Amino acid sequence: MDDINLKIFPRDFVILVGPSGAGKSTLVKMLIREEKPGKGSIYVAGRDITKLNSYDLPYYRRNIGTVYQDYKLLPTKNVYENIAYALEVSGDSDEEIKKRVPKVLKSVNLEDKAQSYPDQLSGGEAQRVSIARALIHNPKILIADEPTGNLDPEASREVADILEKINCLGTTVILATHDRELVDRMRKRVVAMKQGRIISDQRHGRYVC
Amino acid sequence: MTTLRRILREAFTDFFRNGLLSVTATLIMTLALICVGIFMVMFMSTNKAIADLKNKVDIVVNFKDEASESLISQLKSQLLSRQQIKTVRYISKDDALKEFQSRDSVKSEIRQIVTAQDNPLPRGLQIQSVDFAEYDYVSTLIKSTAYSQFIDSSSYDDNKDTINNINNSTSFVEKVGLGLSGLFILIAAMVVFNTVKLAVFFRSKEIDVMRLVGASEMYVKTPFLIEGFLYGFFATLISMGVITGAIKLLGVVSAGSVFQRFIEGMAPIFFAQFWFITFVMLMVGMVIGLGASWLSIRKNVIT
Repeated sequence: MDDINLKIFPRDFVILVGPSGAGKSTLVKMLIREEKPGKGSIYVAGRDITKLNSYDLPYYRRNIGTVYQDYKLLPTKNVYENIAYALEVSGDSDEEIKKRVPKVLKSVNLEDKAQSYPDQLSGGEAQRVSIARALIHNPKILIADEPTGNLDPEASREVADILEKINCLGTTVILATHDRELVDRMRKRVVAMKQGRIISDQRHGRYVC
Repeated sequence: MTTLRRILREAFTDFFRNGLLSVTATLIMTLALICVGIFMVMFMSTNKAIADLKNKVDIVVNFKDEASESLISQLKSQLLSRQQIKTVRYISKDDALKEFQSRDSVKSEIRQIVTAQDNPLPRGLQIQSVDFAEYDYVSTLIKSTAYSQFIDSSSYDDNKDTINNINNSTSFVEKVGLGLSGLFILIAAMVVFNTVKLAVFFRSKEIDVMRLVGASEMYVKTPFLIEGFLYGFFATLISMGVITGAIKLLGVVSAGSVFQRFIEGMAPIFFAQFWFITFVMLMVGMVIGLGASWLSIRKNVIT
């Protein structure tokens, strides 16, 4: 990563594009503090997250929704439990969980899959569970790292639609991808990266190699 | 409270889900605790045996036939005036005869020689001391001029040797018991360490996910600590069950054999100290389980 100067505003939908090794995933990891920059600061909602200690880190992460290419679901829990888990770790009561999980399942059209286990779901369904879990805390920011990487075109479109819907409802969305079709379809702000640097930042961009 | 409940639920679920791993760790821990338990019982038994022996060790002072009854009474009073000396029993010639006739180790031909009419056995005083230190007092007393000329013999020194022998052999037994227990405890700790390491490894993806959704370090690590504790807890239950069963079974099986007295010595002590022994084993089990688990997490759950 080299000389990254990036400003993302509330309710933005930013797509990070670039070939493999461009640094998209690294940037994403820095945003959730899985990695730290060698130099510089990252401000999220006015707070420098590079200075977060290990005690505060979990609280920060609970306020950011994350979606990954490999879904990152707990294999021994069913769909309902996977989503509920995100609320359990923050100490929410059982009543609260019973209220919120069905709602968020509905928003991604997965109410009838609540008792299924991850290995019983299709790629698209699994990703929607991930998204539902990411949304459970009503985060202000949603970060998606190659969310359509393992999905067929139709499932990819479904995921893209959901992300747009989320953004419309007020969540800032940061999407890292090298899915050209996705980028071209969405016509959002595109930040292109190459070899760790930002090479372009277009308001309504297209995928640039 | 809710969080604690969830952590406990997670720990129990993981414990059972680990299946054979948990069973192995628990069994090795059980082995170590059985060692500790047996060692404790043996230690307590030998301590009690020594205490009993110290109580039971008698000094018998045998009087020449010339000694008067009043002299014997006088010595008896003097001995009883010592606070530490509990009982002094007068052995008349008849008593001596009865005791002699009842001894199996004496050949019957010899037994027949000694009769009530022709009784060469001396009168005696049987002194039961509490404190080993009292023997010197008794020795000095019977060697004093007032009594020494009327005393035929005394069996004092032999008992001291017996006690010393017991002390020597028990300290050997204790060292062996301690050594074995220590070895098994070390092995159990290593097994728990590795079991937790494996558990962490198998669940490393899950741990990643937990962290990503914002689980605190405590939430992630505590279930593993509880699992370590559970190994110790279940091992204690099984060990106490095994030892109890073994003692009861050995009590039945050893009847009439050389070991019967040994078991008869150990059993009442075990049952009298049952809860104390259980408590100690639980503490040892917990320390091993929690300690090894904590060490393993520190090394293997990367922040």
